[in-house]
Amino acid sequence: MAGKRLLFVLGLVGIVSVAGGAVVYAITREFSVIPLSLVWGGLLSLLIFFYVNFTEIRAFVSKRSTKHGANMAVMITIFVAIIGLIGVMSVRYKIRVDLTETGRYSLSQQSVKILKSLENDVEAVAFYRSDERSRQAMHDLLKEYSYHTTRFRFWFVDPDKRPIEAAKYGVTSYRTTLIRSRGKQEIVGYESEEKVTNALLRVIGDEVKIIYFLKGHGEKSLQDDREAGYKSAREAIEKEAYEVRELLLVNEERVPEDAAILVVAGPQKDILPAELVKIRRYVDGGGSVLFLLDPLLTPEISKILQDYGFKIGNDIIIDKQSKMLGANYLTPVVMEYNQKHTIGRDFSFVTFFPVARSVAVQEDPVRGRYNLAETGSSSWAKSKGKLDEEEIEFNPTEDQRGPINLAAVSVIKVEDGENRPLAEIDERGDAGAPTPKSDLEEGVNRWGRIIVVGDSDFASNAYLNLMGNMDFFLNMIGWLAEEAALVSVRKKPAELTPLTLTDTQTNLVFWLCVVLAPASMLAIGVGVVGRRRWMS
Amino acid sequence: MNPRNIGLIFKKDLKSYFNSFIAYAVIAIFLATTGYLFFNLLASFSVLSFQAQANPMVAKHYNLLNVNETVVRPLFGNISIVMLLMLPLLTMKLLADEKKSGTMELLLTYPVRDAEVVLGKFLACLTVFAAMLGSTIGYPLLLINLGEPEVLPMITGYAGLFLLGAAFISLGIFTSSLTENQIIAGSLSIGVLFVFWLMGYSTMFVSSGIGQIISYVAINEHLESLAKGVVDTEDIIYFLVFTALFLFLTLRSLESKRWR
Repeated sequence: MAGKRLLFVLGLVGIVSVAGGAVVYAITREFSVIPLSLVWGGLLSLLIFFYVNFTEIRAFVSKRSTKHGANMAVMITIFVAIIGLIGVMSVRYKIRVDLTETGRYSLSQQSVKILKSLENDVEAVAFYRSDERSRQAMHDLLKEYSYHTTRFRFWFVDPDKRPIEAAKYGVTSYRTTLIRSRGKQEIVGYESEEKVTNALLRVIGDEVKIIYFLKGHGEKSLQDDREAGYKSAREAIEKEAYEVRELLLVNEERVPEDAAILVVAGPQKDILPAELVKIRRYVDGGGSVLFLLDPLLTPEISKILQDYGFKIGNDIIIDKQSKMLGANYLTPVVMEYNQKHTIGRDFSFVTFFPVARSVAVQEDPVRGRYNLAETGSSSWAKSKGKLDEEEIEFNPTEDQRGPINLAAVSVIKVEDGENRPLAEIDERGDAGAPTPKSDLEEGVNRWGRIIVVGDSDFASNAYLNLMGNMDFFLNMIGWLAEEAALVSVRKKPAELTPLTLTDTQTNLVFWLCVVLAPASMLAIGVGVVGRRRWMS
Repeated sequence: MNPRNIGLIFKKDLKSYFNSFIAYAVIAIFLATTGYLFFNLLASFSVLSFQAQANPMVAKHYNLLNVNETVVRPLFGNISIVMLLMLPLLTMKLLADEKKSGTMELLLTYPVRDAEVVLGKFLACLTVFAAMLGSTIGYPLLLINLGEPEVLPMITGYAGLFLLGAAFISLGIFTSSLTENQIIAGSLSIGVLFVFWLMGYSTMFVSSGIGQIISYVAINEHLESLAKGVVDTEDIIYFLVFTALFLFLTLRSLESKRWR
């Protein structure tokens, strides 16, 4: 008897030891000495247990109940397997009907097409506070995406509760969603199918966009790490996953085909007419050019830009307010941005433009012409006379009173193929879109785009990191390089169905739902049960 | 399987719910809780609507000024949680009580099959639940009267709740078949339902493949689309399969009584 009890203990010890080893492994996640010896020791004692008790075990196995049990286990396993299969099939092949009036829970065909053609995994990380009201909308939207493919996965992170996660992805604001694939990522700012799909397209796109910087006319150098150089600008652009190259246009027949943007950063000499022709051809064919033009130089470029609607002032902007912010009076400060255009929308940082000239367009939404940034009202544009800090004052006869605009944008329709009205695109602020390459981008057009800024120093090493300068610069680069409106989705939002209750109605709802309905149910119960008691 | 036998069991159990005070009390409490939640949602939506008149951009931006989005959809979510807490109370006695009072043996020796017993009890409980759910019909009617909600999403939402209830009940019957103690059966049922409910939250801690499986198994994820007006065969099949699985397990559990 004592031996039997010992054997029983042996079996128990075996099981506990194996289980203990498994638990230690589950906690430490490595098979070190302790879990290994636990598992081996346990197995050994179990072996002895089985060996010694062989007859009893055989008797147990051949018992009726054991057979039934095993039988049942097999049946359950088969049933669960079948159910699992049904589950898998129901996820793979399913019918989905959106019964809302506006169809607000369905993706557009374009988005679905893109999702079906995904070849790599895409993940979306949404950074929302748990109690954020717009979280649900983003969740609905991302869920739609994951419905159509198994390659799209998303999850939410609450930056307040998991700040480390937010830091890992470099996210600093709520209501931000990252679309990531193969090391590339795009930021989506709010809950719109259009934004998510376009971000998705950019993330899965193979090519790295190339940004060419014109050289040969004394432009800012990309290698120069001194104050006036553009080394920081180059690094900032490269950080956004663009490739940066220099371009000596004199030697080339045309602006390279692969150019996403051509940047003309502060030329000291005018560009040769032959080069200007090449640049014009590039823009008219759907290219994007960023001109950063310093005051009093390059009249030829200014002349060409007039054809695109720009008015490049032959002046210098004086801004006395800037002194209060620590700059000199030749460094105008910009705090007002055009809310109608993507670049200026929601942009609220202060930017500085050392030694700048005025640049403006006649605003025209149909042709995508917008003024982007203007100085304060205490500034003016001076076109004559000497610059002497002590005596400089506004001269009403010669100078132009502020606010002075110093950056502007215009888009140029490419004359081929069918077009859709520009006004529609501009309303959402992402005018201009190069090259429909596949049938995904139905009805989308090509636009050349030009941005002109009356200063090149704001993006130089000395000023790039000042306040909002870098953001403004990268906003412009991003907009120019963007294949915006690749897909344009006009989703009908949920209808507005406000409902205001009067006090009486509020009380009525409360009494009906919280008091009267339950009470009458209780009354019925009392009636029925009471009647039975009474009858019996 | 004989439908007559199922009918007999069904009637017997339905009577035991409605002749005693249980059904009425449970429904009344269900109505009071969900009624308060409904009132709360509606009243705050009314306040929001009022505020939006002053600043329409805000509400438009968040898609919030839609009765379906802001009242109906969360209401279904709220009702489902009340269900999660109350349905186990209805199911816990179904089999456990029979065992405790010794009527189980009687039942098993009747010329009725296990499947008929289980199905009859399941349908009886489902009927009580349908009455429970049906008694909340006043909320959508009030909404239609006071505002302009979309009707189809409300219908799909109710269908979703019904399927969800069926799933809850099948699990409740199963736990009730495991033990003869009602309290254990009830709390086990609530516990398991909570596991199915909260599962979805752990998807972010596991790898993508397992995450997909977990989010499929999690029960509340499947109510979501029905509650917002989207009918997806995946969700409907999920609820049906869930129900079938636990009814099957109940049968096995009853069967094991014979040879254990």
